[in-house]
Amino acid sequence: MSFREKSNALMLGAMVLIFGSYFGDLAMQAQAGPVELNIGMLAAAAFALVFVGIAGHIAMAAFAPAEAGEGSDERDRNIETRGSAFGGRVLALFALAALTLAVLGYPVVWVANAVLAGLVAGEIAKGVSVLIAYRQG
Amino acid sequence: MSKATAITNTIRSLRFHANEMTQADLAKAVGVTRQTILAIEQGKYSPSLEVAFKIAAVFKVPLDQVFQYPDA
Repeated sequence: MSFREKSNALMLGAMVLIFGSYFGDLAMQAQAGPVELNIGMLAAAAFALVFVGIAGHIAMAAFAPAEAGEGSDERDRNIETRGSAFGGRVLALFALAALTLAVLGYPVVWVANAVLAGLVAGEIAKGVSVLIAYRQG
Repeated sequence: MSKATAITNTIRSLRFHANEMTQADLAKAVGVTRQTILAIEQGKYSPSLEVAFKIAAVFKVPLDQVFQYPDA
C-alpha cells in the first residue's frame, strides 16, 4: 500500500468517524427539540479532522520515510481526478437538497448542515472511489 | 472505476532477463511508483504512451516487444 493510499484511507476513516459523530449528535439534538446552529461543535469537528490528519501523516511518514518522499505519478493523478469527479457529483446532489430546503423555508441551521453534509459526503465518496481504484489497479 | 485493460505486456519477463531487475528499480528508472509498475504488469492499468516508451527504453527494446494488443 503506497503512502498516498494510506493517506487516503486515514482521511476517509477520520472523516467518517468525526463527522459521523457530529451528525449523530445533531440527530439526537433534533429528536430532543429545535436545533440551533452550534459553531463550537462544528469548529471542534473541523479541528479534530485537521489534528488527526496532521498527526496521522507525521506518524505514517515516521514509519516509512522513503514512501512519504515519493511524488505522485500519472496513475495517482488519474485516480485522484476520477475520485474528485465522483465526489463532485455527490456534492452537487446535496447542494440541490440544500437549495430545496432553503426554497421550502426550512431554518438556516438545516440548510447550513445540508451544505456541510454535502461537503463531507462528497469527500467520503471521493475517498471511497480512490480507495477502490487503488485496490483494483 | 478502472477496468482491466486488453493490452498485455512482457514486463515481468523483460525484468527477469535484465538481471532480475526489481519493480522498484524499474519504477525509479521510469519515474513512476512501484505500485504503478505492479498495476501495469498485472494488466490492471494502461500507462500513457510516454511511460510505455520509457519502459521500452529502459529495456532497450521496441515498444511492441513490451506491449501487445490482441487483433493488432
